[in-house]
Amino acid sequence: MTKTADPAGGLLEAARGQPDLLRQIAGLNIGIDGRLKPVTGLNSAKAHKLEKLYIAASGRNRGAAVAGKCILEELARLTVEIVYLSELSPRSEPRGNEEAVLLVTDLEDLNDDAPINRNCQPKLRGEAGSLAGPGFIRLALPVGLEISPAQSFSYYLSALFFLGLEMGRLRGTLANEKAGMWIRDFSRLVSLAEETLVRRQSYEELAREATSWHSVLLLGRGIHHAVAVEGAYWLNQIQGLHAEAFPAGEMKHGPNALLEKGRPVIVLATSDKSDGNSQLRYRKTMANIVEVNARDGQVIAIAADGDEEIGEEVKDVRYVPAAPELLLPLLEIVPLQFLCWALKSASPIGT
Amino acid sequence: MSQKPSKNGFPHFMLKEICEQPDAVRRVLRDWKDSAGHIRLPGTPFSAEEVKSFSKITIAASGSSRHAGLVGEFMLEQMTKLAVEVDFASQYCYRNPVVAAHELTIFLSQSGTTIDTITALQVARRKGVKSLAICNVPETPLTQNADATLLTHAGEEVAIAATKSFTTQLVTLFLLSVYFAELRATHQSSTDRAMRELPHLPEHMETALKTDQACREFAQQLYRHKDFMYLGRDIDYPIALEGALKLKEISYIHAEGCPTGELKHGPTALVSEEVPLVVLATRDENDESSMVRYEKSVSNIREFVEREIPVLAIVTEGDRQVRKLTSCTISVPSIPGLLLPIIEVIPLQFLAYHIAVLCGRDVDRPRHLSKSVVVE
Repeated sequence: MTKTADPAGGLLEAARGQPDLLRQIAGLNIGIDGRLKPVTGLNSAKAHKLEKLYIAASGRNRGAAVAGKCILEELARLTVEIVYLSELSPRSEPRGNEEAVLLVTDLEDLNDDAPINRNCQPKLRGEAGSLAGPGFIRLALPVGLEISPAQSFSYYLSALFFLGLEMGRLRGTLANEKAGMWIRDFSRLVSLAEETLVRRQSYEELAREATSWHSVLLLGRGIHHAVAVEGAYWLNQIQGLHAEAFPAGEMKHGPNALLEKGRPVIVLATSDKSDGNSQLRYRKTMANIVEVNARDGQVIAIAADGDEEIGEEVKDVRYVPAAPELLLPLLEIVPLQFLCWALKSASPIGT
Repeated sequence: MSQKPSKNGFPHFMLKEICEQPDAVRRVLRDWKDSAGHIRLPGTPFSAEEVKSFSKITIAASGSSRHAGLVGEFMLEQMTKLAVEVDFASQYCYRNPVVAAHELTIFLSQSGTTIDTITALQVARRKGVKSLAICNVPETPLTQNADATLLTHAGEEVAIAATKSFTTQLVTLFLLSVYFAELRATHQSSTDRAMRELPHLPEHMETALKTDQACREFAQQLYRHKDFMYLGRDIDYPIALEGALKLKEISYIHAEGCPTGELKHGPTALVSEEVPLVVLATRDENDESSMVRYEKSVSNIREFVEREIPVLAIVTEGDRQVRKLTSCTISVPSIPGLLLPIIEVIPLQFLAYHIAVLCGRDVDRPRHLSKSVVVE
């Protein structure tokens, strides 16, 4: 993994490089015959035996882990629990062949604090680089692919998506035709990500009002919560904001008390019109937006092209091209990356 | 007809309800004891065969109830050896959760009318999962539709911020874990200490109530800050989340909970002289892994203090190491680690309460919140 000295610049590069990254990932996972390349060390017996997967991640990899839960549950009908890497303990050690721990991390993250249980450590190191589970599995970076910290969200999310497809195929939870559709949908993302770059200016304009922010809430339902987590991480890293992400439905259970005039709330509100569950979640998210508006909060929404409704409720909407639900985060993240970059460039030097 | 609730001389319902916690827990303990003094499940919700057949437990809840569920996850996993997962009720109900017939889903809600939790229960029923409602209020949509119900006996809770309903949920989850462990024969000697201490828990909570004055003094020092972070490890991490939620709900200060070890990977930019850190640094001297976590927390606190970051540490009686580093400590009785969350949350409730009072907030009825969330 390359280190970028300037994280804001890294985000700009990540946004501009999104089509290229997606193209590379597609090439790594999809064969010339249009089928999935097999995942080393994973076979049907192992995939069937697996009952529970822990995804362990910290810091900037938490967002991808949250998305991974939604993806693996949907595609492979696998129970997934997300744990903090720093909180790995005997209770999250795999029990027999039925459980595995998937580490979403760069090597250096494994030092010092994680994991607490010393017994885990040799196993973690021993298994590094292999996908030989059950046991400890590492979501490794393929040789030759260089990604920056700002790209880890998109890279790991995509890697989990392809793992989900393969797991789903092996476990019999995903029909071949359906898997084929997902593969074609992923390939189409490249041009959709290119389309987001055309809209760069509209995304960067969001920074104008954001320079006065002190704290911000980010909301998303289902897999969109993952984008909220990733966005909060970078708004904190880049601008020092107190940014906190919630599943949209959690607001009423406490965080609503923070709402007041001008309190910024970023809502990840994209949806897939052809997917009934996605639409159901979208309707609930819209209800959350109405609620924030009623409390004079300042909503900024990211929506999908073709959403004619959201503009009536929200003044600041930015659009990304429509895509299937599980892949929308790979587009939704782009406006947030441009926002973070523009926010940093707009702020006075030295802050 | 129910009586009109009275503050009994307390300035707010919340303060009264914090102080009622030892008695509320006494009621829970009584409800779970048979005439011979043994722990048994009130009523007969599940047969021994059913309990033995469970292969997994999912807990679905929102807000404070979810935090109780996160503590319950540690209790249930440690004692029953079952895999336990906690989910936001609002996420569980709209994402086709991976659950099957031989599994148990526990629904936690003070009111029993929380819409997200009721919707989650409907999803669970469609999937044929066994369901258990843990509620404070009887005869509610949640208790009526679940296969079984456990009542938490907290008594009426008027203040919007949950206090006694939270600690009684924790005790109920502990007792449920003990009961399941017995039926499943996964009982371990490491939980014996917690079992022996359980009858004395109300007295330890009474001791913890004496932190009120100290919390008020720290509130005076801290209430002008705009942001707070609450830190905890392992079973204490959910209590950090709960402490932060209490402060957020009633003082409108942006407080966030985070695992102590995650701070340097996550919101690093928030660590500054401007943002007080409330650190749970309690320990169980008879538990090696608790001591390992404690040592790590001590070294974290040392680093914070050296960087002149304001720290308030919740420690165990007799603690010397943290006290050497900072004078800002509040101590709670020394009890087994599985029970510590139930008493260490008390100073965090007081802290939130006194800060909110100093900020001039309507403590019992904070803005934009309702006691039970009946619309999504």
